[in-house]
Amino acid sequence: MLIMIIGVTLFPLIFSYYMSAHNMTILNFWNPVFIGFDNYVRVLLSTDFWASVRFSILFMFVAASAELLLGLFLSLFLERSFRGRRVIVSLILIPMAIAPALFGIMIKLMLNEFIGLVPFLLRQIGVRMNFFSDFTTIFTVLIATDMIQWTPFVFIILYAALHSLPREPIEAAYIDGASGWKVLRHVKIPMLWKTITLIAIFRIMDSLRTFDMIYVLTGGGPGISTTTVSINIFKVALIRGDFGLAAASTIIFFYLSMIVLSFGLKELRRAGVV
Amino acid sequence: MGMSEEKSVPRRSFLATLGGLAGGLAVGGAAGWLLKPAERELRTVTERVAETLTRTVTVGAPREKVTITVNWFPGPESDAVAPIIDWWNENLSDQTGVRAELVLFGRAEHFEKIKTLLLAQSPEPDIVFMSYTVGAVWPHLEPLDDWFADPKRYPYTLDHFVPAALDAFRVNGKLYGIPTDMNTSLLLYRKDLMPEPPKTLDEMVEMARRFTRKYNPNSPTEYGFAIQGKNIWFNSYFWINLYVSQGGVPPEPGREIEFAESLNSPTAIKVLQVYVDMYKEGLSPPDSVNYEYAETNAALAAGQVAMALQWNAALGELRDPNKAPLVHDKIGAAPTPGRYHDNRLVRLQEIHVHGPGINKYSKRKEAAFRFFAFLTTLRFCLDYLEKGGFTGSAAVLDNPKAQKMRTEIPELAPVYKESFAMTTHPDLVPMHDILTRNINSALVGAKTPEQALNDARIEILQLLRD
Repeated sequence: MLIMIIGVTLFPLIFSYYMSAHNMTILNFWNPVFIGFDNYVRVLLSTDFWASVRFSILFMFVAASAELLLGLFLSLFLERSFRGRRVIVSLILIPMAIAPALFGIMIKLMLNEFIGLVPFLLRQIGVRMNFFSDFTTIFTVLIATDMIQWTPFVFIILYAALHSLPREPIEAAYIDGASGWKVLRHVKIPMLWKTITLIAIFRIMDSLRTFDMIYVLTGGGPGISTTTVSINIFKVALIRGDFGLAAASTIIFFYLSMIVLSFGLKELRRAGVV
Repeated sequence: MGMSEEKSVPRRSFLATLGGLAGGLAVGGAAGWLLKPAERELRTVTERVAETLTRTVTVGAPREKVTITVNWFPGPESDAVAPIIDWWNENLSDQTGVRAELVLFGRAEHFEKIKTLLLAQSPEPDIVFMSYTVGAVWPHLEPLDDWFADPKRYPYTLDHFVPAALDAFRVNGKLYGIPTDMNTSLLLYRKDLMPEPPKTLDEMVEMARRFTRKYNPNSPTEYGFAIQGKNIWFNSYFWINLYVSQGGVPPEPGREIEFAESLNSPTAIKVLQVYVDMYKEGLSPPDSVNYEYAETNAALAAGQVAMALQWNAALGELRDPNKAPLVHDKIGAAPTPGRYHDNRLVRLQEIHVHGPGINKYSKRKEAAFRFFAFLTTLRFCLDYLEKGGFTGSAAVLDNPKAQKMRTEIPELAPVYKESFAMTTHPDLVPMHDILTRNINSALVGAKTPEQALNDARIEILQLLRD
């Protein structure tokens, strides 16, 4: 067991540091040249890397916030018992079960100007729209796609958490004359806070490293405007073949992610979870 | 316990299973009987290969068999080679002492898997299927020149291959693979709308405008052209072919720096300006900045685009009545538009190849080469083409039987004759990646064509000098 843990975690970690300190490509993989911190300097001076960090943060911020809000709204909406609720819950969960790359392909087909269902339906009502022609529409498509796929994750956890909340404080608040909004604001959300923080951390980390869906939909373009850090690292390693530079990018991005994560962990600590 | 379980099987289920098996056997037998004549016909070519090979490769009694692993590209390519390997094992393994076993990986990650295996110095597969990215893995491949130069080992000839196709598998002058598959891009056009395809860049733009509804309300197509503009590294090939056909420097082996330096030339800027203008003027769909193979095919198949530069592989799909019912009989193919020079039409475009090479770490190189030599025969090339693969053999492309079998060959042959080999430089893919990214930036207006090409020039030169 210990050997397995070392094999799958410790060795790749140490090897990443080793690669990052060497000029390592596919041609000299077995005889890489030691170059110290050169790769780190190249990454820190790379405009492509920082552009990808900027886009990843923007994507993370918009996608994670939107998914949290929509997931919370859906879980509150479906908290009440009504006919057909189970069917709706099951339908909401479907996109989460689809591989992100496949989901990206499905969206791409659905939005295709000539064969896509969405442009076809829009044309029926006299609207002509192209979904992949400029950054604003492409960004909207990417966020919407991520939301369709990952809001179910937020929803299902909050839905379960809402159902496990103690009923007494909620009922007491209603008896005291609190409105639905006040119960939500001052009773339910404070009780859900730990769960919300935990989900936020998951979604932030996940959307920060998004790769497959965006790669399938845009390839990181137009230009490099939708290149996430993961796409950037993939291109440096497997298209450019510069494993050393890719390893340095990975390590720098890991520490940048740690900064983001530390805020979440601080919040969890404050809430007494860790 | 076992007995009681056996007894518990319902009689009806047992009979149904038995009936199903008997029915399956009957259907299978009937299908086999019906397919037999076709199979016999297919085997005629391979039977002739058998005669040739048993005469030349093998001498004397059967030898001890060695099993080699042959890796191929999954998809139509592996479907084409699988029956030939079966045939080899049935007919030639005893005489040659070599039995071949086909090994496949997933199509999407094929080349990455090969890279990883070679990097890990894995002795298997003995024969690996590679691509134009040979420049990035050649230190892990067996140089083939000495093997081919030895008449005892190799009694055939490579002379029938398209020279540029062989060059596309050469690195530093040494040959590392055989071009069993050859690809390029073509100008696909609606032959029902234009009797003659545009021959020059100006004609192409004029034709694109004529078949764009925005400029010609009577146009049967919405757009005259579909640019493959997505920021995905191989999309630069289309632009390069246009540029080279206008007199630009081809990125052939050994001319990479010259090519990079020429990127800020007036010719390069003019060709990119044409691309950008076509996009801005709406001759190409607005989403085409995100187009690659599939989107371009969809646009052509929907009958809404009159022309596109597209990979030759698309022809099969677009001429299939089931896959492209609206246009299957209306798609023509021509070389990339060029220019007139001294009253002569000049067109030049790249070809790139796929094909097998020998793993440097193979422990059965001698046996692997015996099978490998067979892959270079005219007979193999014809058989492979017949079964759905392609070929890098000029002799096979000129063969009337091959031209009858594959109706696109007469259109492709002139393209291959006006071709150059794409560089096999280790930085081939990053070079294209840089160029595509900048072309894409120019298309969306993030950079001017001058800026985009100058940035590409600086980045590529930096890459090549590193």
